[in-house]
Amino acid sequence: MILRLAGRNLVRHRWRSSLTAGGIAVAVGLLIFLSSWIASITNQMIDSATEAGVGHVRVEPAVGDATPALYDSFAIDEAALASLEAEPDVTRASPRVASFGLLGDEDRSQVVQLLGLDTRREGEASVFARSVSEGRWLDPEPAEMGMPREGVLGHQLAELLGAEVGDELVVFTQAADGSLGNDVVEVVGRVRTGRGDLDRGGLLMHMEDAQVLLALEERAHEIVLTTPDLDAVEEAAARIAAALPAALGVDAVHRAHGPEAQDGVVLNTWMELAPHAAEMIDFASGAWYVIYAFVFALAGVGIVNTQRMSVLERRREFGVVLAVGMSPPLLSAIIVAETVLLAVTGALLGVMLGTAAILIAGRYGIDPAAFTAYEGEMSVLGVSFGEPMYTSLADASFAAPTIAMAGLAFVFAIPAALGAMRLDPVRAISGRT
Amino acid sequence: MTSKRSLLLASLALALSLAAESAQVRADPERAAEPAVPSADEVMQHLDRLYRADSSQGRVTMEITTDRWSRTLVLDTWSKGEDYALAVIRSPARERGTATLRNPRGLWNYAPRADRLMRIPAGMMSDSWMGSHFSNDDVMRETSWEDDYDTQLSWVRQNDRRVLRAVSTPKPGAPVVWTRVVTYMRAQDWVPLRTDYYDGDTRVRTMRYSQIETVDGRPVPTRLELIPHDQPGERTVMSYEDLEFDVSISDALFTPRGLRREAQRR
Repeated sequence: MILRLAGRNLVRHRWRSSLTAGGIAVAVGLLIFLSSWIASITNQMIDSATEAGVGHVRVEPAVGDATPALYDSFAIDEAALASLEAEPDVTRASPRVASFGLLGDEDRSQVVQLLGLDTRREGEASVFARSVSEGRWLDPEPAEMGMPREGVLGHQLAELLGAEVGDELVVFTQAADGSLGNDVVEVVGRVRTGRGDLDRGGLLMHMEDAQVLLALEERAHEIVLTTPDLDAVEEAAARIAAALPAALGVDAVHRAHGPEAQDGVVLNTWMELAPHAAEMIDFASGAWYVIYAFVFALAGVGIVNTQRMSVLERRREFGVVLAVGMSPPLLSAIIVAETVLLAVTGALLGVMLGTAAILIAGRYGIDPAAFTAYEGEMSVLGVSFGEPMYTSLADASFAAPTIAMAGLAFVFAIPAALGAMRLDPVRAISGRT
Repeated sequence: MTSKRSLLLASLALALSLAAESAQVRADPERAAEPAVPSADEVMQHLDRLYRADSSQGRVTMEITTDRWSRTLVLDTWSKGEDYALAVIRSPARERGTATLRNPRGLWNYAPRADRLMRIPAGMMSDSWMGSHFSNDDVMRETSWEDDYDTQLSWVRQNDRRVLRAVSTPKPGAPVVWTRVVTYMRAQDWVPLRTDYYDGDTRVRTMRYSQIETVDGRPVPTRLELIPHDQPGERTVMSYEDLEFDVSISDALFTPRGLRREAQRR
């Protein structure tokens, strides 16, 4: 009966009910959409810093105070990688080689960052493969001898070179033995990794091809490790460091480059290697809570205001129903029920609104550059903001905004309900306060 | 009053300077007999034409020493006029046929394994040529002493001998990365002995010329040693095993087809 009475009251005041429910719907929809958008930015930053960058944990040769160069590599084989992957803290151990070269044809060329990847490990599920915007990702196995080597280009590099999928280019590079490596590369795809340097100048190749080109057979510049839990990466790194000597056959494992790290390997977590990105991600998470608080506060003030006005307008009505025998607690319950009904209706509308916004932004993207006068490629801490960002329902938070808003409405309805309970029927009917 | 004092001071300074000059000439009779400094245009034109004349053909051994590795390249070179140059690596086997071509349309590297040419951007003229300490510009001689630099000449004494010093500063807009280049030449025939390249006030690298031989009647240093000062212990030595000037070379050699033919020649 309480719900029926509350529903009838809401229907009798259509405009006021619609406005309140609409306000709650917009707030909930906005929160759901923002949760997805912020998650897409944060995920892009994490992917950029880890999967497309230094992994969760990176192992590279110790070179003392020097900056690791083309020549600083270590021997690597399948047994060593399998041994690392057998560790409970390692879900994937991907060796990589990296250098610089010149890529082009008879008409133009560009300096490129050459990255050789183990495509059996960094296959279709890798961030690189997921970033393919045109063409395809590298095959699991390199092309046969005598055929052009496969290459995937950063999308901006491809634009600079005017290279289409299927084009053949030449790559020149200085090899580790001092010789000059050169080969033909067939462009099989373009990627938008979100990592500015790779998008602008990345040539991604099979590690075996890059090793031949750079005269680094059976050697790698780094091993990028993925751990099961990004939040527990520090603890995992400590355990991996203990396992490295046996797995790689090295004597020393250091936690930082420096004068002491003259031999063996250096192991770092992604937060140590990309501290700015880690701080930015923390900041983005913190900003999310601030946004939450603001939207809740605004919506809460709206609910309180509407309920207060509703009670004031209906003082005579409340006076009459109390005079004819309705108990004050029942009247209070009806008022709370009205608010909860409004909140639930608004929240459900908000879920639909937020879902629609996420689906639209997921299909067409949101271009941050559209909100600024800047026309170039925007990149912050290696994360490209010059491209449209796409939202996903999987990243959205539905339950928290909906439940929180309904709870908030209930809490804000209590003062109005208590006021109605204390109402004197005679004074209320006479219009005196 | 002020202008009178300035005039007096200027006259005094001039008189002192003339007196000092006269005293120095008396103390250094050899300097009094120094010939006039030659025309900068003439000297720099001589430097520009030193290794190319109207045309040239040679075989060069390039020994590259770095702190990581040492290697020796043997290459054949051709040049014609100011705009055409070709260098083809003959050994070692891994790089055999790798070549660099310059003609008025641009600069290219040739990848023999791929049988493709790749244009080298103009901005990479100062980059290393084939891993050596020589730049693309050093080997292909794209820039010109006469056209790209303003040069001041003077006589200086080094090891008790008089040498010609050329201080060259890039002309505005010239495709040169150095802020100053100082070349020391033999007084009698302007054969270069040493060139220092500066970035600001820092001497970045030095080229030493030696083993001067007469080639087709012209004295030419046949050993060029390039020392980068920021990489201690490293150097590249380029030695001409064979060098001929004013030979007949077809323009067709300096085309992609001519390059391919020459690069694939065994």
